[in-house]
Amino acid sequence: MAGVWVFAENMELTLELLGIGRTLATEMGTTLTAFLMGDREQAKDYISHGANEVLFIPPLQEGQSLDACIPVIAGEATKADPDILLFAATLRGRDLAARIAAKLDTGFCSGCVALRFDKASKSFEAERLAYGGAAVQKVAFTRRPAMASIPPRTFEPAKEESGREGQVRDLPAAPP
Amino acid sequence: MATIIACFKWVVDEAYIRRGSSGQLDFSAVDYKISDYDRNAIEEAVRLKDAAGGSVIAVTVGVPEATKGVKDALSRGTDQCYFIADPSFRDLEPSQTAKVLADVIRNRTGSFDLILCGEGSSDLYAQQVGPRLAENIGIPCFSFVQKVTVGDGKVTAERRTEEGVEIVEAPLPALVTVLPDINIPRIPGVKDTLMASKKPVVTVKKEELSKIPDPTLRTVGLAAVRMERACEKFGVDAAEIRRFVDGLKKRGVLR
Repeated sequence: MAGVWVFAENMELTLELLGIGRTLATEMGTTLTAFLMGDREQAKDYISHGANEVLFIPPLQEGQSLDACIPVIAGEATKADPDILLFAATLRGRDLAARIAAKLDTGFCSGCVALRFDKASKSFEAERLAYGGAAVQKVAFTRRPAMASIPPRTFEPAKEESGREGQVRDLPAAPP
Repeated sequence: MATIIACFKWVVDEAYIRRGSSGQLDFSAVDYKISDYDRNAIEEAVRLKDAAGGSVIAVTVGVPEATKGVKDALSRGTDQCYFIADPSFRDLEPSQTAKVLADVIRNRTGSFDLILCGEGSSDLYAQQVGPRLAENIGIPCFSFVQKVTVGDGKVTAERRTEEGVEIVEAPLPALVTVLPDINIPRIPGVKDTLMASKKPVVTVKKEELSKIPDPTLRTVGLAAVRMERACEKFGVDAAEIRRFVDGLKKRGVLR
């Protein structure tokens, strides 16, 4: 059990993922982990918004694109075996998540608009729109980790709570 | 002289889906089409070929009845088509489709320079097959591309992000998924359709492939979207407009 992990390319989107992530982690009785890029100082904000652990990805080098994070995130997920990975469904996020899902050889629900954890079966059920928005497709995951990308503004951002504590861990820099 | 692979999916035309009385989807009167964004991928492949020479191979995974789609792809200027067909391929999920495509592209279609895919399919729109396929083959991938050029052994792409456009390049072979505004797909003429019947089609059967992996996602339900109206009325004075804006904020439409 390595809990719920979230990744988004900026703070605003990460806080939204921390919102749904906190709900899931509490229901599951597990921890919430957030990836952080850019400003290491933001780690304390992520912790006060519900993260138990922050994984800091060192700044990318000049000319490196966000794609460089793919092996870093996939590598950590392989080592720690999280239950679920959540991504913000931005253009980059959708691309990144699909490629990480291929690397981890697991199922990925893209454009997820509802997500719940079923305590009895200990599994996730997700909903997404299909056929140009005419239909709701309900999906279940058959492998670990489950993965989902969540469109911006689907869930309420996490609320800040003082007194929360958490750890920050530095990840290796993305390979060139 | 580039060899370009254009992947496409033969999908239900969503305009023909009806909503049944109990909220189920009624597929009884549907027609099929090449997924909208895949038409852009095919068009872009053919344009690149027309500009610099080379050839375009169309590849699709689907049910045996999708022959009409194969002919449609060939009438759009592609040179040959690999048709990977089996009745069980109706319900493949993205990780499976990407693996089947990778198998055929690695082992059958021969060497290539560029793979083009649509940004997503117009039925399920999971937007995964392109990026997953690139990972499976182990080549660079650019998604959501609005302009692509090929030359000097590399691909240059204008990739869209929320913050702006990123110009990226990678050595060939590579995979690019295209946005609908990259081009306007042609409408094949009578001559194109006649010529399409003479072009080679390689049919690949399930038995000729490596074992199809188990699904990583299962669809456990598919139902028509129910539109729920809040039935709230608003006036036009300042207080009412404020109430309207607050209502939108409360529902997360505005922030």
